[in-house]
Amino acid sequence: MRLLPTTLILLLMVCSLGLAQEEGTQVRLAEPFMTEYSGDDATGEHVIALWQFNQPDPTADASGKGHTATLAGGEFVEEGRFGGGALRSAAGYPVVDEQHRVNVASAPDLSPAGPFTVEMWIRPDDGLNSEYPTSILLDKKYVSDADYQLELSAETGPGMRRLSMHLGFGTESATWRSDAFPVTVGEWRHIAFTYDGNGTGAFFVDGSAAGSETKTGYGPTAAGGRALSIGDRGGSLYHGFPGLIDQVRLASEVLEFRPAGFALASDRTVFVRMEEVQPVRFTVTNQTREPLEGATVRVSLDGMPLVTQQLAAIRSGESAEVAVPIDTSLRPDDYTIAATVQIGGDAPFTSTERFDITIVPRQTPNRMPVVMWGGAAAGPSRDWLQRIGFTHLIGLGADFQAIWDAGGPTAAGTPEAIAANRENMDDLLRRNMRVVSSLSPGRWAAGQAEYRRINQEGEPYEDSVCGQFPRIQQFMNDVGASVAQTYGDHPAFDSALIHTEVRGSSHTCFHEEDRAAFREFAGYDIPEGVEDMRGTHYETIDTFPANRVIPDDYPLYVYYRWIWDEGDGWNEMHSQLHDGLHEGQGEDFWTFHDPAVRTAKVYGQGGDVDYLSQWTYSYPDPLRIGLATEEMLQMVKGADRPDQQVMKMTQIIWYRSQTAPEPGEEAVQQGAEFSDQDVRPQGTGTVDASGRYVAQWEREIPDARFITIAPMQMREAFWTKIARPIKGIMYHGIGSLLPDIVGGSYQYTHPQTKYELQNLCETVVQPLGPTLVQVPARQSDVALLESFASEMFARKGTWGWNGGWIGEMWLICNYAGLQAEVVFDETIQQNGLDGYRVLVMPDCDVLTESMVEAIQAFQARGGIVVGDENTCPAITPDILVETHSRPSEADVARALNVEKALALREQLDPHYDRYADSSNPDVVPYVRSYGTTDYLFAVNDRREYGLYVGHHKLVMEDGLPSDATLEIARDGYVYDLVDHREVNAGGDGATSIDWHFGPGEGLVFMVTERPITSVRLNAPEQAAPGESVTISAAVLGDNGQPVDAIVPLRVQIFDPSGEEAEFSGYYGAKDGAVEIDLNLASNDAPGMWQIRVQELASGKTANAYMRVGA
Amino acid sequence: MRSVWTRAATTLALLVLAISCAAPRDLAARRMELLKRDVTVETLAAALDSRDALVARTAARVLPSKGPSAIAGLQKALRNRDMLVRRSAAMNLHELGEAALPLIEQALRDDNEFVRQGAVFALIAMKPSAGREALIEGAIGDESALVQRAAVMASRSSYRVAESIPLPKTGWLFRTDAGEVGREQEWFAAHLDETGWEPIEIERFWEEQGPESGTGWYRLALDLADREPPARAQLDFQAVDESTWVWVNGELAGEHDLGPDGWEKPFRIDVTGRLKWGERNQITVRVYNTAMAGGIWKPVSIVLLEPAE
Repeated sequence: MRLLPTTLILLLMVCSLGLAQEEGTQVRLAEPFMTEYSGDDATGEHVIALWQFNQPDPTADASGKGHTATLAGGEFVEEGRFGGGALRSAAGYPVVDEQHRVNVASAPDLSPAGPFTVEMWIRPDDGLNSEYPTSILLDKKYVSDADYQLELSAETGPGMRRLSMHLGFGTESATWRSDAFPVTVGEWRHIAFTYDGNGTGAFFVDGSAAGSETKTGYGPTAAGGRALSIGDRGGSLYHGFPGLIDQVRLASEVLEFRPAGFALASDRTVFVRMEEVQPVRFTVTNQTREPLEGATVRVSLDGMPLVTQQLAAIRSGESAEVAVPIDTSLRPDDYTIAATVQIGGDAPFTSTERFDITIVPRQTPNRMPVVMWGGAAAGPSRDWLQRIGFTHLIGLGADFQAIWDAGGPTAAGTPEAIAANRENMDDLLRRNMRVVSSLSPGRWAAGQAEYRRINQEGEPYEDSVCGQFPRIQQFMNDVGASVAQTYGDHPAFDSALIHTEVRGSSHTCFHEEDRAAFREFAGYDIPEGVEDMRGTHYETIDTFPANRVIPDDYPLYVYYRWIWDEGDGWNEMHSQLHDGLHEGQGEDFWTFHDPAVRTAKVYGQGGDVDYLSQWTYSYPDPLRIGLATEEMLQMVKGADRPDQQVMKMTQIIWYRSQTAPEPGEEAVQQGAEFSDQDVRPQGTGTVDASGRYVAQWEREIPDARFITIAPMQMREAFWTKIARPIKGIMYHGIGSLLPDIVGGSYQYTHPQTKYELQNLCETVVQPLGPTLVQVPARQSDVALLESFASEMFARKGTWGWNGGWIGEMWLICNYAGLQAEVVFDETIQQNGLDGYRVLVMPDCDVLTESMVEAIQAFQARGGIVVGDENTCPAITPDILVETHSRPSEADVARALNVEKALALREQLDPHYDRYADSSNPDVVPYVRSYGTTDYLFAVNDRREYGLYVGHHKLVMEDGLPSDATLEIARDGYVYDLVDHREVNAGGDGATSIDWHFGPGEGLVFMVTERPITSVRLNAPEQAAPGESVTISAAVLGDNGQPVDAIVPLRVQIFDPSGEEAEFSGYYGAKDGAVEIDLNLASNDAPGMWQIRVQELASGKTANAYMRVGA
Repeated sequence: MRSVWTRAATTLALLVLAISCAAPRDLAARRMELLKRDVTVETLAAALDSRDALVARTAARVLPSKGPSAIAGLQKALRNRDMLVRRSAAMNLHELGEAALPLIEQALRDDNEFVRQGAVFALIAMKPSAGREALIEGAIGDESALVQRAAVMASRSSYRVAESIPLPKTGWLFRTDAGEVGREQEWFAAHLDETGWEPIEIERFWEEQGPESGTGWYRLALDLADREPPARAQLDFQAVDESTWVWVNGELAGEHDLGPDGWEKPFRIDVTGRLKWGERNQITVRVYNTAMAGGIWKPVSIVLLEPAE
């Protein structure tokens, strides 16, 4: 925590207004502890016992509950806090190890079974000096694990002491401690402790809060059988209190002692630097039983007094509001706002409450989102996610029923839910994390019976809403707008997931609205033969052309394209929700939809969302994740909005059914021969009595349905997707990533996976992410056609699952070194095949006439068609790769694909030169380009069976090292962006790099036209606190100019204490240069600042120094 | 005249040599030469001898466009050792019109099913004629399911559906074949002791009656009314999960084996001449399933075809 310089002036505005308490809410008024308790305060039901030590019977229980005290070494005196008498205790060990107390016989009600309050007045005498250790003020616990013991500490500082309350819970005890407060000889202090019976304890000193803490896992205290000792410990060593004790009260409720309650009324305490924010609001509540007049409020920030203002009179139980503008130009840090209310008059009183606020730094530009597709409450799991490198969690929802009922934008939840969400967002913002709102109002709307889809017989589908109704579309917009207006001001809310996993329950629909919409679109009625969203197989259409070439205006083709594009309304529903969410949001707000390509391959999927995403299971072959990514990259090329982009998710969970035998199934270990000696050193499993190897997770969680992705598969899948021009990455399955996630069917079976992901984030995503998100794709000259006509009329397609023959062909292309770009029917229909040299056509049974013409023209100009036996008869493939169903044994399946890839390569090589190539089919290259610079990625797919799931032969989860020579058809200078060093590369007119790859390893080389020779860094030599200065850095080539590349940079801005300042972090220097507008804060540390820039291509650095202040 | 032929032969020989021994970049260039509009039949025919697969296939693909003068070259192409050279030629023979029929017939006798399939594709692209129909008829009986399917599709342009006879949902018998002994023990026989076979319904998955991974057999005794035999009859399966073999009256009629991907795909098997009208027929279906549910889960019917006008 930093103290503000005395010169700092924080603008502060205090305004007060009378606020009546909401009807039905009851303000707990403060106890009149400044007076001697009487009436209900003395004898009420909630009072367990009250000892006022008044003459003539100082042992009496004034509550009338009969807990009479017995003098035991203490002394009754006539002087007291209120004049009627008091108990005098005295110093115990080591002064006099004797008892100085009164005892009260144990009774059940002296052991409260729920909330309770203990309070008393104390006045020390000279015996409470700096040498004296702790005093026990009240003790029913002694050394047991039951009841309570209140202790006043030895001095923690000159004249300062703390209270400790030790509570027993049966098998253990726990201690709550107060803040330190002054304890002065001869001065009365009122002390109180409240416990809510649920882990929260709070201290009050003279009616001011003196510290509170909530301990999780604690409930009511346990009842003990010991007598209650007042003024001393319940046994030796004795620790009496040197001084007077008066008005000791025990109550069975959590009582209030603050005459004025200060509460934070704002729902934010964390702010982004330079953010324009609303003032922080507090309420001052009169908790006394009289009107509060002449009260003064003083507000300070980090101890610096700022403003004092007199409040207008507040009636008992009512509140006034105080608004405090927050200066977010202060340096990022934690700050404490102290608000003090001071009451004069006959009963002068001062009470202070402290509130912590935080100002967090702004984010550096182009941070690559790492989304945990799931949530985690604040606590150890969230800590883990932050440590791993996640930037986003799924969080906010909305009350769809309320919005539906409102018929327009309204609050997105109950006040309690909204408050909880905003508190959660504060926590995320403090961690530099963000929340993704997950909204699926379309799924919810399927519950509205009158809007359900209907089949041709008019029967409704229970799981699917019809998007042709304007009411439904408006509802989507309303939901988005409701969430935006409820949470849109909070910077932690920067993104939304729109309608996840909804398209699988879509259906063709036959309302009159649907029929009319199609009629308007096509000019004719819905044609005969329509089946479901998966189309109508050509073999069931007697009039289907035998050559499987259909006119482009074939009515069923037109219909199915319409239903997938706009006819079922989902894409428009996505757009409406997206539009509603964007209303009033900043430019940085983004939406995404997933799984975006679990659809037919028709442009427009996802509507107008900002990003498409898709989830992929890495098994059996991590390379397959590239196929879904390419599908999305093509999908956004044809999107209605030109700037739509792609993110990609990997599933952390693995289906048990796809990786190992199901529970109860015969565990097949074909050819697996293990001995105990084989497996013990790796510590992953054991061999059972029958000689069968059993992995650790199989032994410990035999019925696991979902297990953890193996780390090496995660690594390979990561490199495969990040090689492509995606803007963010996601993971789902927190229960399989982290330990101790209770509930759900996701099992945590591989502890190493989280470390793997953390390492990938630290070494790749964070340093290189800002660069990679800016590097565009390189136009490939190999196209892989995923034919919509074949999806609809031959039941083909991947449907986002990367499987089937198309998935196998994708792998074959990878192993053949073909950087294939997925294309759709529309790609060819709209743009032809210009720019491509190879067209791969897996499962392209059916084509349209214009596609056939385009493909034939492509062949006529030398294009090479790679087909299969299913290829539409109108096309003669130059190369035929016979289809196969993937063998179940993973090594056999992979070997088959590699074999076919080598055969394909042999046929292609004389006619096709790759821009980038690999000498080893196990190592798969991929190129992106910016300007004259290429970014050459490669990933090592060489794998073997491991001891995690591999013994079942379904998945090869362990990587193996590989050697390969990578080649790119150009001259250039090569930089390893992961290791930040220049790489020796040979070749003339081409660049060759010999590389040894680790298991599952990927890399990215930056290949530039000119060598990097230096880093130029400019910063002013002198700057004043509060001034804005510009820092510029450039990565220079041998011509002295910035290189024509996007270069990763690490920028560190150190203040004189060595702490990193705002805008330290990683950058992607576009065109070799970056500029940073540094807004020095008025409370930034003066002195010499250091700015250090390192380019992460070759590792060159530059330093600059700037004096801040005089 | 002789000298002209000698020069031509020499030129061709050199061309063949050049193509055969060319470096990769030359091969690509040579292939591009074959795609030029004015490429000669001789050049194309010579290119068939290239050791480079794509050069030879490109030549085979282009040759039919040269008309009857290409027939000799195409005969050579259909004898090429590269299956795809033969298939490329076969698929495009329709460009020769009726003159192609002998070549297609030759291709339909090829050992490789892909070549025969390519020949059927050529038939599909041809105008109807008696010769064409005869070849399609023959191809329907091909041993390859791939060729059969293509031929059935080819026949569509010659026939139209006259009637469809749904097979009953009930009345089927079922037995699992854990030991894969059904073929050996001829569970497809027209007459079989069906003791131990259990009733089963079709148009639903076999659920617990069948294996998650393995084989099950269906048998149906079907009485067909007496009538004039149709021009063609086909068993129309809307979908069987997963691979299927069909016998009619003890004779294998066809198969549908696309592996797991075939679970939801409709298919037809030609049973012309196999059904006995006015008598009881025995239909047997062997289903092999690799995962989850299996069986005849969608309707089956007999489709009767009549010649199109």
